[in-house]
Amino acid sequence: MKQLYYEDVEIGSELPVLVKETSVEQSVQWSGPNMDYAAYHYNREAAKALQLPDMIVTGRLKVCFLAQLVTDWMGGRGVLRRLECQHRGMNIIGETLSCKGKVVKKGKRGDENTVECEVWIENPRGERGTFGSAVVIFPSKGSGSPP
Amino acid sequence: MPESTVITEEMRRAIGSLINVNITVVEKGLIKDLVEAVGDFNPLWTDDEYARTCGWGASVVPPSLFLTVRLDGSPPTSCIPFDLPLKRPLDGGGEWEFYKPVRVGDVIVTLRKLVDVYERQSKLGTLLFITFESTYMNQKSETVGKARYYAIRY
Repeated sequence: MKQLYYEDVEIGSELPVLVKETSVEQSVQWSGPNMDYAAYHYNREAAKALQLPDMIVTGRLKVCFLAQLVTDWMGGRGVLRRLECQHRGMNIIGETLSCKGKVVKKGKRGDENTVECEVWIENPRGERGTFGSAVVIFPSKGSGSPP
Repeated sequence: MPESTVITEEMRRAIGSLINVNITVVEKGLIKDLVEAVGDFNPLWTDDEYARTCGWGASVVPPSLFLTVRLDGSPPTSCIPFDLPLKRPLDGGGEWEFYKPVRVGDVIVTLRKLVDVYERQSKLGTLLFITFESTYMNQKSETVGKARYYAIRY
């Protein structure tokens, strides 16, 4: 995977979009490692019983998609230090989700090369249901080990 | 103060309390199941050789391990010491910090606290927010991560 260095990160630049398909199978598969088996994420009747429009993607899975968006972009020697997000809209299972991000700040914090990104998830209509920010520590060019 | 509140004295008393402790041995199979479920096949999570070329010595677990409720042992509202007056669930999101690499074989001790209960009015009616904080420590008593997250009922 490509390594990005602190010197190469530009404020305003966009992270490569991470597209995620969602499915009932994925939701079932995810409930195991997530240790949350709530049925409204994979059973339509359970979702309807809670007056939800349909089965919904779990919030925690969407946070994992945002983490992947950032770690795919930063390369193997970067460090994801902080991730924060809010869920303001539901995503129905079956929707294709576009995970996006943009660099908003960079600077030294102590001796760490810190970059802050806005991150968010759009549904197929371009609406942002989940949004937040990520802080990444980058290596400098010429440094030998992870920061 | 709203004229009517869904927050009881029992809920207020629970604020600040430790609600559970969980111990997880980070197993290779768990990481495999996790990365497959998320569809995150970054070799850093599973390939020691690749991780060495990045300077990590060996593979490190993905941040997503902290983003599941696995390290906490159960969904947050399953171990609160009061009944919820509202039943429809929403996930309010949260904030996660990652301090140190975690590897397969590490033992993670999680302390989960209930730190706040509050309500808001919205177009869905009353939203009850329950805020939790988890602290994750490894077998060397190093704090490897922290989380603050919000369960909503309406």
